[in-house]
Amino acid sequence: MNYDLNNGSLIIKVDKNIYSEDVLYKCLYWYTNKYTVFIETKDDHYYSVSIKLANDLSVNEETAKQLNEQILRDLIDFKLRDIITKETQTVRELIVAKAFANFQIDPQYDFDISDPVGFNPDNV
Amino acid sequence: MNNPLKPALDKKTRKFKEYNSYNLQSNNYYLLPFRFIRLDEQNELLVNEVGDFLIVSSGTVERIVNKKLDKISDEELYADLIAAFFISETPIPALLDVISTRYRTKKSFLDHFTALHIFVISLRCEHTCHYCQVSRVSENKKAFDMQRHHIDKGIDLMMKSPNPHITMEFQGGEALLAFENITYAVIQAKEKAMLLNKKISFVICTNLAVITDEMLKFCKEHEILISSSLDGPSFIHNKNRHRNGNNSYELAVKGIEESRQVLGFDRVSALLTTTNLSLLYPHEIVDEYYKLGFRNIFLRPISPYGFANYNERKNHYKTSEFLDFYKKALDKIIELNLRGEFFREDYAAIILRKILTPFPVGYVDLQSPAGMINSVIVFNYDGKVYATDEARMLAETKDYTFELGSLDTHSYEELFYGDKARFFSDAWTNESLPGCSECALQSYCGADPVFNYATQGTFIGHRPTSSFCERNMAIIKHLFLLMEKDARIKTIFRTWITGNN
Repeated sequence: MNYDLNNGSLIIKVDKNIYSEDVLYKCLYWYTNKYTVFIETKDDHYYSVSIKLANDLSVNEETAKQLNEQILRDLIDFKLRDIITKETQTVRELIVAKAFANFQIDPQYDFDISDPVGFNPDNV
Repeated sequence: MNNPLKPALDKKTRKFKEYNSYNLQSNNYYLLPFRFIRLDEQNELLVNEVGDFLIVSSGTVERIVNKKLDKISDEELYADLIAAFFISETPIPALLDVISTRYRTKKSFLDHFTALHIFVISLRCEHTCHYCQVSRVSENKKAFDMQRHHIDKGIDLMMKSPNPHITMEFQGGEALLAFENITYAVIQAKEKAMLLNKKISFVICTNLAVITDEMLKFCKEHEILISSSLDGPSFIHNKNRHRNGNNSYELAVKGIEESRQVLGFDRVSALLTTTNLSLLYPHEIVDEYYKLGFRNIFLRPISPYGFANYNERKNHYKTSEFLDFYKKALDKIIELNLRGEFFREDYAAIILRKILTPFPVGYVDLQSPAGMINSVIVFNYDGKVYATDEARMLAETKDYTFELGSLDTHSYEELFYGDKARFFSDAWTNESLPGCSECALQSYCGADPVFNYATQGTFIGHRPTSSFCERNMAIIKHLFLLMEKDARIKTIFRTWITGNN
């Protein structure tokens, strides 16, 4: 992923065809402890992301390079997470719905219950 | 005549089919819900919806998600992923009901609703600990002791809890300064619990400085547990916990010994509060607990509430400093265990139980939905009702955000199911919190809107700057790495859960 340094901010272009808005926000959320992050829609194909240090210090060349590599790696991880979340949404909802479904089934037998000791369960 | 036993004897006993009896040609599989995190450069941790985990080499998740696994060349991994519900060969897994049951089990702490009922029986205290969130040095019983009609109403509400096993915990200030109110409350609560067929446990939180033989006799008679405080050796404890005579440590040790003699060794516990001074002495603190006969310690950071916030020099430290302290103390504890001595770190044990067993843990600070109201409620000395112990600490600094109502004016339904409770519920599941929803450690962690509010000003909180998140992420990852590094440590950790040495 190419990057630029502009007035102490790291500028990266993120391809919309590869990374969705969800992935981009979820990934960059974790950078908001140290950095101020601006996300803009540049055109139909790219997001422009501008990242600068939260205390207004400039991002230097070395930090920019490391940051760019880290963001790229995190974007891939968050894209994988996004795929899992979306692909498994239905199963997850089923698991949770079944887990908390509140019902009891009375056993219904489709055969006569044997009563060898003369105890008729129907009379209970 | 046919022998009815014969078919049974002929049955094959093997429960699992051979690997090659499955369709090895098809590589079609479906993902099941799971989350992942990088443990370090070499390892990825995968955790499924019910808390089962796998540690795999870096890059494996990408292969799983992009359906690059091969049943033959990745035989072991593929089988592990199928068996542990990470992938399925059908769109809806055949064992969906099993996964759901496991999920329900993980959340079974919700089944019975509130268990822990904290009665702040008095705010008076003869200590002036610099980190104390609440207490008052005062002789004014009327202003700072819980009134009898509030005790009665609190007991009535406690008996309305659907939970068949309730705990009544007396806190302060120094709870024993209002001992006559404790005796009244215990006798009243016991009678009512008996009528309603509820099991009730009692706990007194005390610094033990004012405990007497008469009090111990009462505790013995009513099977009351003692929860005391011990911050380490005397040079730390007495520095943290001020009282006239500078003898808090000596009185605590004496009280622990006497309580053990009367009540039994395991009926007395101690809690550590970590201050700036403590950070310098992780080994000495562990040694002190060991020396006094404890076989467990709870390495707790300081609570960022109430008056504790005022003393920055003594009570403020970075999470990274606490983590450094925690890891050094944990190393010391593991070293003791490797020498054959059973000694448990309680916070690790809580998390390990979540990691290594299918069961939840009754620890209110690491639950989702959060422990507030669902597991714990606080009846304050003045009749006000708060969502957690920390919430009443906030109230002592005039922040009443988490006040649910009053024992004088509100019904059980209004307090426990009212608008405020529902309002808080928006932020009390980590499954739906930003930063937590896709976190691999979600099922081992919890949600704490009170902590978020106290430290960051919002119920939702901001995970990248949250000390709760930083601390728990680091500790949980550390525990995984320790187990991965040394199988003996995993065995030790298992003994911490089972209690079997």
